[in-house]
Amino acid sequence: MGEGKTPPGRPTFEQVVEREGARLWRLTAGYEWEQDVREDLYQEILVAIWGALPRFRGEASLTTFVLRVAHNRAVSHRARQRLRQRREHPIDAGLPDHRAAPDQRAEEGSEREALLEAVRALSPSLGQPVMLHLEGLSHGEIGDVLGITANAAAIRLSRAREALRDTMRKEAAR
Amino acid sequence: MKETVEPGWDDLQALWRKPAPPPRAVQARMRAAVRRHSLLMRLATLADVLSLAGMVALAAWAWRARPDLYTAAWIAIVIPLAVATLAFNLWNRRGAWRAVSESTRAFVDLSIRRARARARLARILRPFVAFELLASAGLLAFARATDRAPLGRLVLAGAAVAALAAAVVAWAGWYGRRARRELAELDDLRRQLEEDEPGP
Repeated sequence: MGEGKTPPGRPTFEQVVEREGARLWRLTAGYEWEQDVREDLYQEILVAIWGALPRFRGEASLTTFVLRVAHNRAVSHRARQRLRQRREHPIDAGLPDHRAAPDQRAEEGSEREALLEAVRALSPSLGQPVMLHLEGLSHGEIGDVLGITANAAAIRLSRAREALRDTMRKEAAR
Repeated sequence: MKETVEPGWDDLQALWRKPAPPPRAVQARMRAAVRRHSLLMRLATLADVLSLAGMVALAAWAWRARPDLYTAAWIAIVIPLAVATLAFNLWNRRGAWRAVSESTRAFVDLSIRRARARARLARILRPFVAFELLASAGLLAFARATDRAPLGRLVLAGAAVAALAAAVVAWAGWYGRRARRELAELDDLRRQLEEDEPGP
């Protein structure tokens, strides 16, 4: 996959998958609960990273770069999913089901699944900064990924935290 | 990247990072899919370049065999079409990679611009096809008037051009509808991403 031409200092695609694979897999769970769709999204993200990697110049950390590509791919995936939903189920469109099936809940652990469901229930403007913060990014880095100021990222996070905890309490009580 | 944890987030962060990495089988399948995708992309580019080179070679051969007004007109119709097809394919593929490493806001803006460009392209295609049809009809009439080919072959050529034009118009209609639906979805997404934007 072009590793032979990788300039020194730039990681190869294989190294990126090795280093960031787990992070990217977690991210897919913040967008999709169904295993098949999640795998599709993961594949789309990897293909996008493969395509974008030659543009990595090291201005941001590799993690920030990879998360930027991944979130972009995820939002366009979500837009396409909604288009498909609208075509197939015109009445339900716009109301994505963010709840996992019971067997998925058991697999993930109910506490973690409650967190995932709460993240998926947030609007994209809040869900994205939350996922990035849960990965350990600073406000500045979140701003860099999303194209907003660090201050805006901080404000969104503080709004999201309450919504998240509230939803988690309700999900846990289910 | 310096990891940051704000008060009130540490337990959520620990919970978020709890799961295992993706299953090995999934990883292996994904790597194979990416390898397949990279091969397909290269093959598609190669096919585009080869088809343009083939058209240029055919035009050169035709011109050498019969350098007259008819051949010149045929070249003037076919070569711009082949160049435009290659340029569109390259633009479509390169743009996708260019946009994806931008920030989410810039990515959505670029995606909106690209969806608008695709919708525009679908609109432009109809007059373009009409022009190609008229030009082809003129060429065929000229060929008939100057007895360059038997009538049966000219009718066949005309039918082939008409069928191709109908297919392109049908494709343009579908492509334009899809681009407009995408545009509406992206506009909606842009609005959603800007919700909770702190005021000045």
